[in-house]
Amino acid sequence: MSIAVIKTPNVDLNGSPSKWQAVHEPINYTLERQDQQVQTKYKPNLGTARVQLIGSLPLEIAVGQRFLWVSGSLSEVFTIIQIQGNILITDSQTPGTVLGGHVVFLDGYNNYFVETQVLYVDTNGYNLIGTFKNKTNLQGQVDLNVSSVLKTVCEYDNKFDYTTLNKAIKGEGGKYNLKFREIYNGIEQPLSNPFGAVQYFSNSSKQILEQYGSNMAEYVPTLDATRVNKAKFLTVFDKPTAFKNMPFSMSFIYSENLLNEEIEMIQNGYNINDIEFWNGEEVLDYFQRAQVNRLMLIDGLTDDVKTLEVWLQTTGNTITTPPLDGGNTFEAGFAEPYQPVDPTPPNPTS
Amino acid sequence: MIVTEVKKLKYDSNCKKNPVFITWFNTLTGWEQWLFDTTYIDGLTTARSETFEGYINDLITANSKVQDVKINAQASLTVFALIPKEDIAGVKTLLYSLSCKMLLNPMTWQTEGVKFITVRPQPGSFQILDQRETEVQIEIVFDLPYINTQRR
Repeated sequence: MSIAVIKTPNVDLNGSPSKWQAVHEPINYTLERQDQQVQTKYKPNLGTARVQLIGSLPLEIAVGQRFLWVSGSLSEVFTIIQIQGNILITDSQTPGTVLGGHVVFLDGYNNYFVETQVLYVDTNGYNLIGTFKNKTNLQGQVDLNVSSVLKTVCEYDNKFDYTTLNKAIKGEGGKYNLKFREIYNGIEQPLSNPFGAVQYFSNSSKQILEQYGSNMAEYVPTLDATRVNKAKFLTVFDKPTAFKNMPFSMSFIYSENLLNEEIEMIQNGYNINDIEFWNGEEVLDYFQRAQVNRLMLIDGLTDDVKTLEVWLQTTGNTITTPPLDGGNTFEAGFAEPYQPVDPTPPNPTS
Repeated sequence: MIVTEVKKLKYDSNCKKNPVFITWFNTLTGWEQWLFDTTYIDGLTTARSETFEGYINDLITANSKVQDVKINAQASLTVFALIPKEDIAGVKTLLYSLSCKMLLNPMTWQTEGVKFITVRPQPGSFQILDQRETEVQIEIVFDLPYINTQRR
C-alpha cells in the first residue's frame, strides 16, 4: 500500500519550478491512496472484466468486496466475484484492455485514513509543527490544505537591524516538507520519508484573479535568460522611495533556483536630469538563500541622486553551499510513493 | 544573468519638518516605509472604564460619591502629508497592515540601532479629495500603545 502526491501547489516557470506559496491562501496537495499496482485490466470474450495485480493479493481481500480501479482518467468500482491468484474477477461487463493503474480496496481495510505530518525545516532539520488526519473520498483521494499549520510559524515584528545588505528574518517565510502514514485496521503504518524536495512559503496573501493563484511565482527568481517577466520585488509601490538618513529595505525571494550561484546587487543612481552618475554593486550573503530576504541600498548615495535602478544578477561565480535543510535533504521526485514495510504477508493460498 | 526586475526607486534627500517615520508589513511579506512630515497632532482620548459609589458614613466628612476604578488613556498621533499621486496606492496599504511600526529614534538609529513601537492606523475610509493635483494631501490617525494607568 502507498500514498502518492498527485498534485502540488507548485507552478512551472518556463522549466523552472516555483515552490513558494502564500501562506494566507490555500496551499493544496492532492494525495492518492494506491493499495496495489495493476498489471492489466482486461475482459475476455467469454466472461466478465478481470484485473491482474502486480504482486500477491493481501489476506484481507475476499470475494464480495468492492474495489476501485484507476488508470489515468479511467476509473470504475468493481465487486469481486472470484479470485484466481492475483487476478480479481469482477462482475463488470466493461470491455477493453488497459495496462497499468492501481486499485483501492474499498472494503478490505477497516477505518482507513491518512495521517500527514507537516514539518518546518530549518538548519536543525525537520521540526514537526502539525498533523492532519483525513479520510479518503470515493476516488481514494485526499485534498489537503496545509496553510493553517504553516501560519503558526509566521511572525509580524520588524526584526531587521538595517545593518547588512541582505538578511532573512525568521517568520517572514520558511521551508517545510510533508510526511505521510496510512492507518487502517487500527494499526499505524510506518511514516514515509519526506515526500520530495523542500517546499517554501511566504507570509503573504494573494488577490482574486491573480495569474498564479496562491503561488508566488511572479516573485520567484529563476536562472532563465529568456524569462520575459523577471521576478518582482515584494513591494506594493511602483517606485518605492528611500528617504535620506532613514531606514530602508525592499524584500525579495532569494529562491532555491539560485542555488550555488553567486548573486550581486546592482544599484545605479540618476540625477535630476536622469543622467546616470552613481554606480554600486555588492555581492549578497548566500547563507540567506532559499528564504525571504530584506535588501538594503548600497551606502554612499549623494544628495544629487534623485532616482535609482536596482536589480539582482548572477556574477558568474559558482559557490558551494550547504544543504538547504541542514543535511536532512530528500531530493527525490515529488510524486514518488513511499513503500512502508507491509506487515501483511502474502496470501499463500491465492 | 539578471534574475529580478529592474526596479526604479526614488531617493528623497530633502530636509523634513517634523518627520514621522512609519514602516509597515505589506500583503506580499515585504516591509514598506514612508516619512510623513510637515505637521502632526498629538492626541489623547480618555474614557472611564468602571466606577464605584462608596458607602457614606458621615455626610460631614464625606467628599465624594462616585469614584473611578480605572481610566483608559489612548494616545494617538495624527500625521498629515503631501504625497505624490503615484505613491498613494502604496501608502494606502498601511491602513490594512497587520504590523505597523513607528521609528522612535530617527536621529540616532544609525548608531544605537532601530527602536520601533507598534502603532495602529485607525480603521475607516480613506478619501482622496482632489484627483487633479500631482500631490495629494492625506491625514492618517495612528493609535499609539495604551498609557498604563492605576486601577483601584
